Amino acid sequence: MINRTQLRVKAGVLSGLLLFTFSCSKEETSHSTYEKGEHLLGGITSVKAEGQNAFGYPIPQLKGEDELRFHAGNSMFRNAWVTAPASTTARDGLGPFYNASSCAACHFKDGRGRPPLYDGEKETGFLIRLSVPGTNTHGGPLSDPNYGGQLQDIAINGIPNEARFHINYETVSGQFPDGETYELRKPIYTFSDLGYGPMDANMMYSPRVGQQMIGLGLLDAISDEDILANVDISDADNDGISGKANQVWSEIEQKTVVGRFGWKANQPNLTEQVLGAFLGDIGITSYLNTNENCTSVQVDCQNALNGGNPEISKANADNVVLYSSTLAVPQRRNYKDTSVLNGKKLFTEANCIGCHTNNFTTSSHHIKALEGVNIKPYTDLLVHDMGDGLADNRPDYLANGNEWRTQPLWGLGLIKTVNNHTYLLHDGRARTIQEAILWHDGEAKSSVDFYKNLSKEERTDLLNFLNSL
Amino acid sequence: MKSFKLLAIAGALTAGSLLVSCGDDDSASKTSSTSVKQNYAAMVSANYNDALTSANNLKTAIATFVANPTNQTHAAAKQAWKDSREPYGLTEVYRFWSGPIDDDNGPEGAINAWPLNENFIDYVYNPITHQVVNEGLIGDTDFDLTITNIVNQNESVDEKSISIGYHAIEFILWGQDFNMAPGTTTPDYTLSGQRLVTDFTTDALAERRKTYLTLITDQLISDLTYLVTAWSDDNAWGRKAFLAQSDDEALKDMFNGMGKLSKGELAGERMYVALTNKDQEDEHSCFSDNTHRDIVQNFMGIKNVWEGKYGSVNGASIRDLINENNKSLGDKIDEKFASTMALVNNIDANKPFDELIASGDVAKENIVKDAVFSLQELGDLLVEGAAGIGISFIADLEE
Repeated sequence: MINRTQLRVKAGVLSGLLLFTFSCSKEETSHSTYEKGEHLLGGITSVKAEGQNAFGYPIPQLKGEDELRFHAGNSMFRNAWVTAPASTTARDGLGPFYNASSCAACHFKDGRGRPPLYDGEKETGFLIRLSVPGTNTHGGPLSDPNYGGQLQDIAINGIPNEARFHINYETVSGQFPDGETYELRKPIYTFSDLGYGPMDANMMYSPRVGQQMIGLGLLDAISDEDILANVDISDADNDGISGKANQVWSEIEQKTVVGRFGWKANQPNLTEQVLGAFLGDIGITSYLNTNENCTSVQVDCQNALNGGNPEISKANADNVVLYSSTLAVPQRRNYKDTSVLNGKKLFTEANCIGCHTNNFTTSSHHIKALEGVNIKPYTDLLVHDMGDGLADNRPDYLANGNEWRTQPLWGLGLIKTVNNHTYLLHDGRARTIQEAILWHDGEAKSSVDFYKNLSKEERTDLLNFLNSL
Repeated sequence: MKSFKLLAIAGALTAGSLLVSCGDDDSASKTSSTSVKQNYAAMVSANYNDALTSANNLKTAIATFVANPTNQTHAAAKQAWKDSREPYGLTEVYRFWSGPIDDDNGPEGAINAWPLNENFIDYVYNPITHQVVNEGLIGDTDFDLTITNIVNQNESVDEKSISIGYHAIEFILWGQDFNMAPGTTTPDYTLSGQRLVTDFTTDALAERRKTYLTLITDQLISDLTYLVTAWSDDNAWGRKAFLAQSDDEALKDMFNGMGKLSKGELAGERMYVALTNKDQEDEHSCFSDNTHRDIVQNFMGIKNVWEGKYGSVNGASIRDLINENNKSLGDKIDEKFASTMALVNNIDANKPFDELIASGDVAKENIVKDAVFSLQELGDLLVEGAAGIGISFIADLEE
């Protein structure tokens, strides 16, 4: 008897073989022509959108009350929370500790956050996770006894701040084989103004920037089996890429499941990702996270007035999850340009596609419009060793200190339009797409070497392809 | 006398039908998009003029009140505020296409920003802590009350730190709406804000409050005057810039105003969000309990643009264009306007809006919900109608 999982795995292997055969027989042209529908990264749920609001449109299939709930979710996502008590009962309860007063502060225009541009700049979409050696009861990171699992750099009036962080960048110089030079910047973090005692001597920290919000419901709708089909822990196919599915605790399911959201794939589903961000980043309790973010030594925090229990109503929590699930993926641009098509071919030849996977069909989801959609997210949702240079050395469930989740590349070329910057990678250290490529190492080493050895024109083609996503 | 009138009407009718038959004869009866956009510009201009006129009445009433604050002059000022909201409500359909009202220099945020943080302007009573907090611009006696200073404070902290506009005036006139009489604990939704006239007479901050009210009323006049200027005949950056666009671009602007106000702003932002949050803070005119009129007038503004009618302006319309292209779709949109109007008027008939959204009575919530769905469907139908005449736009808000 063959069960469904086995069938899917077999299908995956088969299509892999077919693809291989295909590339052999048509090596010169297979990836340099436009393939029908390839510009629709979100399949039939894609939208044609190019301006500053490109990440802000609902999937066209959203109708009736769901569409209105999208509006309500948008309103909740965009508007700032205020300190309790306030005459607004729906949006009070900010903090006591927080990184931002609204979702949109970190995901401006549903887009991407960035590190502070000057010391002390607030609410830019950047935060730092904290933990101490060991694991919690579910195998996740163990929170610092004084500061918890995340450093919130802002506190409401009357509550002492947790701490401040500072970033200094060190320049790392390099050179392409063709002689062109480049400079990367490596961040170095320090902490000051510690409000709640010393940090643990073995404190581990991991900086994170907010990611663009598009297509998240589609990623949520990929089946565990389809994610697991790409796992290759022991690198059986000898392509230098292993790929591990993180296994994380789900509060909703009350068990350990495949992780898929967050920079280390440490969140099991979009609902828990969204409500986790409400609590961790804004200080808003919900039906899932009923306690404020205060450690045992943060007594003022514990005693602060809250904005109701929970602070965000179930209806509004559901609306924000719906909103986050149905922000449409914009269509690609310039996808028929010769340079872009050549870049696409190089992307495959460099085996970037080995992790930035572009072929999934979504499975079951509570939003029916998200089911059965052919999508090209350019991620396998697995964690990979990215080398020592990018390591945060802070394990998160099964993801070790060197491992990061493959970042979806859809929308990559629109970040500049929407957010007026191109700070990339988990901590925003890369200032351009090329810098982000050059930081890749570990399992991606041969792909980066391939990139470095390309001619200047070919490198430009590959970047043009990435900008077309 | 009566018969003379009838004759005159008959004469006018004949002249009208003659004109129509002339048009039919040379088969040029098709409405031109150019005349639609010209008619629109005339409507906008007339509407902003009326808004300014009634705001000037408000200014007069507030001047009278400030000179002699009594319950009577206070009530008259409040009524003048409500009256001035009527023509202004009709103008909101001229938003959502980066025209004079809401382009980068537009005064929309200065005129109509909401919801506002009351605490930013004046004292507030906190019903949970039973404290009076007096941290606003009026209470901060170090803050020099000049209109420049006050305008500079608008949205200075966040998007709720509103210091000027209709709703700032509303808050100063009415005060917070607790939906109960002072000293009682029983909810009474028929009550709006209960600010006492003593806030303008014996209160320690009475003079500052009156100065503040006078200054921001002047500012409202100045912002509305800006719009009247923008839409006056010879204005290059307003009316002429609108007319200089291609017909399709101008029609798209008009559709954006209608569709986005109907579906994105009214159905979504102003009504469904308020319904979801069951929170008075999310109702548009929350101090005066005048939200039902905002909704009716916003809707009527959409209907005006659809029909190409405002006051004495009555000309070529988007409705004509769609009817000539697809009469059955035009009829369908007409029917949707009629049914939506009934549902919007039903909100008015069952006012106040805060009771409809916040009392927890499902039957009351459904009064709002039915109008929400209808406005949403109207937005979708306008998208369909626009597509039929080659105009593509989105009725959702772009933010």
